[in-house]
Amino acid sequence: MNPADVAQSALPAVGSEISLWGMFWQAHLVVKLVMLGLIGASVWCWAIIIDKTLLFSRSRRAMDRFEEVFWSGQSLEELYRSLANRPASGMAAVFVAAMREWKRSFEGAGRSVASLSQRIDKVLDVTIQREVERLESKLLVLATIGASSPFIGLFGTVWGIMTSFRSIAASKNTSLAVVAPGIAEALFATAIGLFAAIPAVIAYNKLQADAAKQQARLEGFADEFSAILSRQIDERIAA
Amino acid sequence: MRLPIRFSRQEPGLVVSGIGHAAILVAGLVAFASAPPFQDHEEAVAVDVVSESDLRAMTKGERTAKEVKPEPKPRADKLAEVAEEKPAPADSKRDVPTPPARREVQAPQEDKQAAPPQPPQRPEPPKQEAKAEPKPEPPRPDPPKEAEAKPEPPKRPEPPKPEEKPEPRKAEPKPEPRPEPKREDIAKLLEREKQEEAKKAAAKPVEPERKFNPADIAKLLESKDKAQSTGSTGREVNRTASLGTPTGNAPKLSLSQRDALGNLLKEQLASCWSPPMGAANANAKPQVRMKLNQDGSLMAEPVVANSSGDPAFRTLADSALRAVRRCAPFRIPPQYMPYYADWRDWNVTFDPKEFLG
Repeated sequence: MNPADVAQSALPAVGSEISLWGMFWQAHLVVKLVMLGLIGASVWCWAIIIDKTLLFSRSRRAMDRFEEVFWSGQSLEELYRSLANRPASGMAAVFVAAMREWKRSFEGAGRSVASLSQRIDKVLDVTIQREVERLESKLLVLATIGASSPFIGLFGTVWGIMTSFRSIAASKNTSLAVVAPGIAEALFATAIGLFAAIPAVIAYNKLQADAAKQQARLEGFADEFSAILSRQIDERIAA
Repeated sequence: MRLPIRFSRQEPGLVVSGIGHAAILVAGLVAFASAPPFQDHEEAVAVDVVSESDLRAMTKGERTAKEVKPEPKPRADKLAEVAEEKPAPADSKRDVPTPPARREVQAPQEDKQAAPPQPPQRPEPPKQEAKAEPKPEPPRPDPPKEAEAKPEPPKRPEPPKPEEKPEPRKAEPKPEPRPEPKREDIAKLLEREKQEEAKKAAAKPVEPERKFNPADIAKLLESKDKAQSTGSTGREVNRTASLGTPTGNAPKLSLSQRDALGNLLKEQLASCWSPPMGAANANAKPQVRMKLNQDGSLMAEPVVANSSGDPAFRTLADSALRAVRRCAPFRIPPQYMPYYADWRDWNVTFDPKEFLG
């Protein structure tokens, strides 16, 4: 459907065009902007949903693999050496950050093991924070779209109905056939708003729960790892 | 924020989402290309239940009518194929001698139900208003009649009415066969039968199983075309719906009038009623329903309308029925005539205490 056709079909008769495109084309500029904005929001929100879903499944698989390797009895030094060179995420990032701090403490000239345990905890916290932030980034966009796009759509509807009634008042014709197209195109804005909002709200709740679950898993691993490291530190001090 | 065009394997969301939305939009354009219009709802056929008084009101007719008929009849253009046979209480009336006071001219209406099977009686309709009008055929010689039967042509050809349909075939007058016989002596019947037979022999081929009608000959000669409309059917052909009746619009008795008429009838009945012994303290109150003609005579046998377990009820009811038969015809003052439709069916409660005390 090219614009020339649309312009031809939309201009002559007001009530004739009832297709989706016709409804959009006849709408007031404000309503058009609202519709376009809502469609953009919907595209964005679905992009986030897809990305996050993929990210979460990737990171869950990575955590599974890492835990398997970590508890397989492999030497931590070897593991660190294999992971240190490439960018890591999730549990691997947490592990690498703690191990780096550990190594720096022993490799330096002065062995600063006194507050090593505290420093490792700090590093772990910061890394977890960073990882969770990465997981949860853009989830707020979903929440915002879910909460606000119905209102935006409603605004478009109210504006469209307002315009429609002004036209009725101007043309002094109140038959339903005259009123109906304007109201239909106005309601179209609310429909798009809901179309964007419903998946956003559902996905936000789901992804938020997933992120919380992964954060808890990371913290659990960090606590265990920190326990292992502090035991090593104590052993070395004693030795 | 990343550029939307760049495709990364790690985050394909934007591209996938954009493609998905475009697909949905295209699907929407196809699916909502036109809105399905509402289906036209079918008109419901309204059915009215017409009560008897409504029907009577319908037979009132028109102001421009030429004459007024004593008995209302719904309009019927042709004979019904299947006649609705009602149980005719008049059949028994043939055997039971009628009340002596009945005037012969006013034949009870029920008689016409029993009459059609009797050929000799049919073509002689009694008329109250004599209307001699020029006819295409020479009028059939009248059989000898009794004194009160007025000499008249047997048929009353009606002039074509302006209300009839414009087609010439439909508009031509079809004389209305009025198979209303009256009670006559057997001898008279036999005598007439002979005359009729001779006449019928000539006229029969036209319409063997229908009523013989001389005017039909003229009609058949005039037009052989089929009628355009199938017309309404009825037990009898009646083309005179527009004529109406004097009691047509069925005015109702006022409460006081009804009361007065009831008292009037009760007075008359009280003089005729001889209740059985001990009826005065019986509790039964038989209610008798009688159908009256305009002259106050009985149109049909009175019937008991209620029942009771009281052992005295049966005898009381029988005596009430006897009283009604004996009293008929009732004297009904002329001021009640316009309300005939209202007192045509009249229920009388024979309360011994009220009647005797």
